[in-house]
Amino acid sequence: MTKTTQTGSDVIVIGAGLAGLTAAVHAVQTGATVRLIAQGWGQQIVTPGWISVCDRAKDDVIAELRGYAALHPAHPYALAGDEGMIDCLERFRAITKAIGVPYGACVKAGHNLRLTTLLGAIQTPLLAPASMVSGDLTGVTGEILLVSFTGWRDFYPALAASNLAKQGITARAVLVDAPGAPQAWDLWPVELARRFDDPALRQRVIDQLRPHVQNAAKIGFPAVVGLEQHVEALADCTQQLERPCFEIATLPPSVPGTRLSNRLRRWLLRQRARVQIGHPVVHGIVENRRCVGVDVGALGHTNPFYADQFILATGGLYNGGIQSDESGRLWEPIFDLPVKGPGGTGREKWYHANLLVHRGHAVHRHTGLRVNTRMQPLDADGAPVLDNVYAAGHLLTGFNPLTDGCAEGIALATALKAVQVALALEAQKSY
Amino acid sequence: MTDNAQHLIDLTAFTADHCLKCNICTAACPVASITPLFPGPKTVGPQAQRMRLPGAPSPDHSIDYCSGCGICTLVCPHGVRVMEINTQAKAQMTATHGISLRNWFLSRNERWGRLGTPFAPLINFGLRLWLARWFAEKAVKISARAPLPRWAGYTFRGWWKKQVRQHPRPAPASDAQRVVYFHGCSTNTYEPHIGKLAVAVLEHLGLYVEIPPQTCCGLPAQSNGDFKAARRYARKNIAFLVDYARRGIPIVGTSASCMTAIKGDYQHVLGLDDPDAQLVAEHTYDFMEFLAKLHREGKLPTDFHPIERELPYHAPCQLKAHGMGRPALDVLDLIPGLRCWEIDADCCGIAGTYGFKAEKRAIAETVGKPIAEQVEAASAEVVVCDTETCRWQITSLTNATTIHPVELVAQAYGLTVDRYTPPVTARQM
Repeated sequence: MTKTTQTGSDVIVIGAGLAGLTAAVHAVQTGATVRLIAQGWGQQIVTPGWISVCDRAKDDVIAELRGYAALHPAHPYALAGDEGMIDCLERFRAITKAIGVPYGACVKAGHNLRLTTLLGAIQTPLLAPASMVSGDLTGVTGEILLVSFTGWRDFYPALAASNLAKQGITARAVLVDAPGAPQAWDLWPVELARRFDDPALRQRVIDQLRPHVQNAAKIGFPAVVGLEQHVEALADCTQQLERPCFEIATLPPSVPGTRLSNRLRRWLLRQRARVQIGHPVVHGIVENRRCVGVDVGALGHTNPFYADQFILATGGLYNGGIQSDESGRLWEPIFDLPVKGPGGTGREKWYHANLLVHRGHAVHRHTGLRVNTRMQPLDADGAPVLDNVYAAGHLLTGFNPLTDGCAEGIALATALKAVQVALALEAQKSY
Repeated sequence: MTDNAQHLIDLTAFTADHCLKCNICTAACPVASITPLFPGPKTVGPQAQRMRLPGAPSPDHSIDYCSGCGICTLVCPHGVRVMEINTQAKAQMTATHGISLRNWFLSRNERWGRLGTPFAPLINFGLRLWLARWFAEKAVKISARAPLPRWAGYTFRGWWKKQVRQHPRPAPASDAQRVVYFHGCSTNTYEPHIGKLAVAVLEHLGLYVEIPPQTCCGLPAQSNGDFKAARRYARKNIAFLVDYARRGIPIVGTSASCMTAIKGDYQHVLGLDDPDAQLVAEHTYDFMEFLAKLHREGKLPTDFHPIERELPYHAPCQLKAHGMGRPALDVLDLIPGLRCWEIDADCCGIAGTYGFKAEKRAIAETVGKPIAEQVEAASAEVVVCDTETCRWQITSLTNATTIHPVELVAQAYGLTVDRYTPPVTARQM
């Protein structure tokens, strides 16, 4: 239970993305007092909300990942250890179930899901919100009905249907009036989701859909079916339309990501953890290779917060955890930890003749913090820089979040490992 | 980068250039998702900002529906001051079209509090009459359902003057023992007990309390777009306080929203970016922040009487803007037996004067619903909250008694003041 002492809390987690939030959850579950500090919400609000672990795996995902980690010892998966991978996924499923945003997996155990996007492309995460899992295309034979709202700019289901057809999946498009809004053009997913919370508004959508269901095997909605009452909202659609209804990830803001963030925050607050979103940690207070506290940039004056252990989960180059300037310099703004980059002088290695280069641009693959198996950031000689600061998530080097299809898996695995080491839960193990 | 260029980037309007249009603010905005009248902070903020010329009319009138709660600024991972940009645009709109009588009236609460004090019983009676409220809604568009305060019938400043006269205090040996108390308008005329308790706690800590002249923090005028009036209030307060700041004397206040204005808005919203404003901001603390700071420095006595209660706490949106965490919870955790937990809610809906407006009352009530639900689910009879209008709003949404955290601190120290019955009592040892 969190309480202040002269020295502060047991753990300060910096960052409110998937790594930061789950690190805070793990730490609270072990009984630690936790303070989470972040400049803003993390990227789960602009991403689909599913968990990519190893998107390219054709069959057993964990086996593929083990093989990959064995060949790439500097990859974050290899550093975090593969036994932690299964553990972190199970823990994630348990906490999301407990807070009412359950996540599910493919019926073929250990396999990736096959989920359509709004364009009709197929994405293959390992876990997804249960509302998306019911749209898994694995082994689907019947016709899929894709639903959008007349005039809404974010989803053209006919386009998705024609793209799915090219991949051998039969799909049909239908447009209905958006719930409670004559003008759907400018509606945000979150706004639509709130309307789906309202049973009366939801009913109008269901009633319009009934004549279009026909032979459809499944019905796909954009992921706006409820915000607070989303489990009830989707169950209502499924029950009344007598077909499995599912959600398809939308453009930002992501309703599934918002649901997850909101519920995790509520859970953390109810456990009496502190959740401070809005002001950046500007500086680490370091004494003899130990971090004793962090200064938060605030109105009027900075505010210090003290703790015994620190989990740094501030994100990578795109998320503010690593900064750059026009000279090509890369730096970590809180502790000035050594940042590995693509090399070269200036930014010449950041670019490529092709926009979509296979395996991604070097700046994405290489930029980040090097850590050891204890998730401690390392200096040029491979020694830990600070004794009680652990890094997790996008901040790490050795993988390409844009092309490897493992961003969320790395966030979960490294966050769990960081907390276990920070709270000495693995004391018996050797490193 | 030169200092000059950095300064330019730090200016509120230029933070719009950091916007990636990711819509995290849109997802978090408590107003946009419940009314089509407000298209969301990104749309009217950093997006519309590209169409705005300094001094030219603002292109988007829907900005009037922004409550100014500032959640958008807090959730932005890129440092865009969305709320501040919106408030400045609102001011541009007010400068172009003028201020409505109702908004002018709400912006000058300081005056009505003061002028109404001698007639407190009459006003308190009148404002509880259904017909009077109906008339106020029809004539001036102040919602008949909005939670109005009660005039105390005496002012905190009047009480303090008498106090000082009757009990002269020896001047302290050094400025290190001095503290300035900023009471704000509400404490002065509606809730003087909060000021009396704050003074009691500060004196209990061995500090010599000074209460210099002060006026409205300017936030009500600012959020109604009346920057001229807001700057007038701000400059007065800076002039009243800057000498204390120069001497390193902390300025503490029990209204977290007034303190937001003094610490941040004077510079980031009103653009008073002079050394005096900065100096005052640097030395200004929310009351609970000040206690938390004393505790960190080992200067806060913790010989508290136990309070065996589990109480929900609401962190007002304007308190969240400070970037000081939740000092009330940190300090209240030191009281044996007391277990406070934070309600998960961005804003109670009232957002200063927003929830008093007839056309916005329903929005304000919907925004505040999560608080009511969580308080009800916990069967809580008392809610702790640091800002007055939020307390009134929470009382109107829940029927719970709402208290300022200083009430618990004073109880736990065994301190009482006249004309006040503590809603939560400590076990005497």
